[in-house]
Amino acid sequence: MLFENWAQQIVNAATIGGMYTLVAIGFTLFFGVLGLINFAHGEVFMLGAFVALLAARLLQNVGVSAGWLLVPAMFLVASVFCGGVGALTERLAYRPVRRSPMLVMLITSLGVSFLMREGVKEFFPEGANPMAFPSPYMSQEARIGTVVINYTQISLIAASIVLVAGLYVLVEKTWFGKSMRATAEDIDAARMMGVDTDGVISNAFFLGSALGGVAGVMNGLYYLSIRFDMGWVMAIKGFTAAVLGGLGNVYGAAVGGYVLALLEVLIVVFVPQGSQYKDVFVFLVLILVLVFRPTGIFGRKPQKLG
Amino acid sequence: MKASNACAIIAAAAFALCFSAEYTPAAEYALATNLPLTGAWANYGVGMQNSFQLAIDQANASGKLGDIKIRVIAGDDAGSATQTVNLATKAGADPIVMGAFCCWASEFGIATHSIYQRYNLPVILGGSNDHRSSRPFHTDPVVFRNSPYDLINMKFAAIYAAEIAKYKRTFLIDDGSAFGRTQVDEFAKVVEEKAGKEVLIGRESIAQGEKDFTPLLTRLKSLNPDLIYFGGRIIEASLMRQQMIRLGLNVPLMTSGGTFSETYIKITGDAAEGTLASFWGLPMEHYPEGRGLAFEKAYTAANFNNPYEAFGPMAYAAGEVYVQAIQAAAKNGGVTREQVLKQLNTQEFQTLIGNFHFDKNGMPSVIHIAIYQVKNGKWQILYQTDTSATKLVKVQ
Repeated sequence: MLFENWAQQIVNAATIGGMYTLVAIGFTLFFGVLGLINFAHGEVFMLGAFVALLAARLLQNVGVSAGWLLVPAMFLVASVFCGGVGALTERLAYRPVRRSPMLVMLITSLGVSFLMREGVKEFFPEGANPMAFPSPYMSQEARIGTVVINYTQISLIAASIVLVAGLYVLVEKTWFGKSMRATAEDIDAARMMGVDTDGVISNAFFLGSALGGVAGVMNGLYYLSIRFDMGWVMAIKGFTAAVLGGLGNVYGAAVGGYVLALLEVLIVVFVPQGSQYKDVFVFLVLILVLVFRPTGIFGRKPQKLG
Repeated sequence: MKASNACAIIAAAAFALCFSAEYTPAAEYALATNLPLTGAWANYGVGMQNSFQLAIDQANASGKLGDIKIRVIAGDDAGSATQTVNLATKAGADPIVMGAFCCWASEFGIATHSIYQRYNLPVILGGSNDHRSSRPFHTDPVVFRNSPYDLINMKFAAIYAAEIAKYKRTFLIDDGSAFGRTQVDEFAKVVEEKAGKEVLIGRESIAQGEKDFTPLLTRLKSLNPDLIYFGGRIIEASLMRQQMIRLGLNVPLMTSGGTFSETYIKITGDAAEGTLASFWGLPMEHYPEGRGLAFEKAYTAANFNNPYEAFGPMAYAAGEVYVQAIQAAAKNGGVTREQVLKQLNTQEFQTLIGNFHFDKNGMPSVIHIAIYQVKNGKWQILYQTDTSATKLVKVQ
């Protein structure tokens, strides 16, 4: 395979890997602070795309169509809205059952997932149909030899790197990050040390869900169409990325997203009919990881907290 | 209990019974649809439902039906095979239903023909392009269709690719569905016959629901195809086309009825330009005696929320067929499923797509197939079959 083809494949993987990473970080945050595998996270990703579409339509209706204004506004609205939905969901749905067996929270998250998906399908105008998504930079592209990278891809790759870097600063360098790490390590000890663990968990849900919403907008900008049922597949991919990296480890999730995307590309390139069966191979890898290295790439032992 | 109380209770019960039972006039019959009104294919299904409803509404309003009233029982398959089967069973079990109009997706046509047969309920397929949903590929005599199946449609798609456009490096992709695989199988078979095996440079399958085709398309780009033929449906085709253009793979993407749609252009945007499709319908102005334009005008006047889309004309024609069959059945001994079936097998129908009868396999005697390309944001017709569907004729 030519170098240009490899370079193009890496650009492809980096774009989609960024989305997987942002969703995976949400899964890992929720698992870290609450021991919860939050299946509703895929629907938060979907909500991000729909809310951004709504914001774009409203802005376009009042005459705002410049990409430099529209795209940041879509990201802002989606992240704030989804963050709010995440925090609210934690408060209303998960906190009351926090001390119940893990299965109860898991089933609650499935219920929340159905509620969000069917809510959009029924109540968003023409919510059952696929919808075109605005992408102001779609037609502008850079070419390096035969490698094509359009501005949307550049902005998506850059945004995911900046967000992961920002998350690093937040987790490592701030009081909130320290509180979150303490809560993830031992919630009772953290509480005894004066950490407002309820507040930390709520903020972690806000943060993880906001990143999920951002990933939803990225998905719309990249694929140019969105659907009410787009969340489930992304939830599975994000969860897989989080497990690959090591569930509960934020940096593991970041790496896991890119590894998963690269793995998908390699399967399509090297396996005959790989495009059809790439999910099968990816999940086979997931099973192998769970069997032989259940702690994922970064090797942190998953803990159940709360 | 006093006698007066007992009488009052009996009277009240009888009164309640009168209102609990559905009021059905002797001359009211129903037609049941089984279409994707929600979900990924709703753009097609809603247009079909509206068009079918329009034909029935017009017939009811015209006064030509006398004391007969036809109503439509709308069924939403929601893109689910289970739901489609449930709807077919429900329609079959409802004695007021005299006919069904079913199935945009081929898999659903294949799944339901034996159910309609079990209930002896005539069904017209308005989509379901896979030949396995039609006779003679099964033996259920209640099944009719008013458009050609894939073996006929794909023949002309392949003739266009191999003999008219003369593509020399065609790569084939299917979506793994019964519909997509058969489309590609038939297309490949005829291209091979007409232009030789060497023009087909490879084949891949994708999974339905997949969104990212860039790894596959990047690999294809290095093979220098001059045509990518995709046997699949609208969402995947739209994403594939966008990603082709994004990667600089600016060669035609050719598809068929699973993609031919105004919605495809809407969600694909500028990248849709150059897409080719073979489809078993014509632009409205090409239908005989201005019937297509009259339908278009009536549809607009009816103020439906969604466009009639690619399959609307077939749905409208199916409605016209049922109206004429029920009308004739009423004159020939009464409106029963048996009589409607008899009419479908013997009668000549005047419809939007032309005057036709069904042959012994339930196929229409009139067939239209055309080759389209997206130009300036619209599907433009390039070629269409002659009236006997033996060859493609260039449209000026």
